[in-house]
Amino acid sequence: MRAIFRPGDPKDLFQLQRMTVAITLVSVITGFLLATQLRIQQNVVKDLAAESKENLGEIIRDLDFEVRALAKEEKELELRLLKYEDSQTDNQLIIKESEANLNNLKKFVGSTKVFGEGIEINIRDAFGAIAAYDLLELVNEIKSGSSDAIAINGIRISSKTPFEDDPDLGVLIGGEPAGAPFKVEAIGDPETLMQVVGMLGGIKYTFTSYEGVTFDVIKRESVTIPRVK
Amino acid sequence: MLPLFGLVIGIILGLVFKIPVPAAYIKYLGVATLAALDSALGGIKASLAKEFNDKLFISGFFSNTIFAAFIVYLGDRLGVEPLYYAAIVAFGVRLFQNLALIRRMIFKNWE
Repeated sequence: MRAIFRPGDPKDLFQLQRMTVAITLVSVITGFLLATQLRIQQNVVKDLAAESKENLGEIIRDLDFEVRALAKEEKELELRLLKYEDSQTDNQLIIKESEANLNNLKKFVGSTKVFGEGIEINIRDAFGAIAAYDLLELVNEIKSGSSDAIAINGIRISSKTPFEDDPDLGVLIGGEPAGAPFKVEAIGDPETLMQVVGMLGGIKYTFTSYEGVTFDVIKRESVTIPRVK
Repeated sequence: MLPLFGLVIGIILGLVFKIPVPAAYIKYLGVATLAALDSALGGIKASLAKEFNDKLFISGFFSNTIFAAFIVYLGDRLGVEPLYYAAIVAFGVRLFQNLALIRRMIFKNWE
C-alpha cells in the first residue's frame, strides 16, 4: 500500500496522524532498547574497571581455577559414565570381584577355614629360649611375604591375636598355651614365603642364634588352617 | 518532532525502569537495538518520501528486531560467530543509507 498525502484532505490527515503515532511508538521502543543496552554495557565495563589490579588478578585466577575444576569434573564424570557402561555389560565380573573381596576379608579376619599351598616351619626349642616376641616377629615376617593365613600349633593368627609370655605356661597365643616344638603353617606363594623366612641374616638367623633352637622350613602343596576360635 | 520526543521518552524509561538483562544476552540486545534503530529510520525516510505504510512499518519493526537477535543466537548455536558481524554490517550499512536519504530529503524540502 502506497500512501500519498494531499494537504487539507481529512483522509490524509488521519493517515498522517497514524504515521506519527506509529513512528513515535517505534521511537519510544527504540529509545528504551538503546538505554537498556547502554546501561548494561556500562555496568559490565564498570564492574571490571572498578576492580583493582590485584582483584582482577584474583578474578582471573578464580576463573582459571573454576575452569580447571570443571574440566576435572568433566573427566571424572566421563570416567564414571564409562565405568557404569562397563558395569552394565559385565555384571558377572563385579559379582566375581565382590566374592573375591569378601573371601579376602574372611581370610583377613580369620572367620573361615583356609586351605592352599604354602610352607610349614618346624621349630624345636630345647631350653625354652623362644619368647612370645620372637613368634610375633616371625608372624610379621611371614605376613610381609603376602601370606593369606598363618597358624601356630593349630591356632589361627588374626590381626587381633595376642602373644604373651607366661612364667608357668610358657608362650600364650590367643590366650592358649603354645609350647615347643612350634609348628608354624602359612598359606601363600611358597617361593616367596621361603625367601622371606630364609633370608640371610633374617628371622631364621634370629631363631637359630638361640642355643638349642632348630628352624626347618619345607614347602607344602596343601596346607589347611582352621578358623579363629 | 513527536518521534524525537518519543525517542527521548524511551531513553528516559529505559534508564528509569532498570530491567535486568543477563550479561550473556548483551550481544543479542545490541543487534536487536540496531535493527530497531534501522526500522525507525526507515519509517522516517518513508514518511518523508510519502511512501509510509503503518502496517508494513510496525510489522517490519518487530520482525526485524526479533529476527536480528535470532540470527545472532543461531550463529552462536551453530558455531558461526560471523553471523553476528554480518548482522551488524548489514544494519550498519542500512542505517547510514537511511540517514543519508533522510538528510537529502530534508534539504530538498527546505529548498
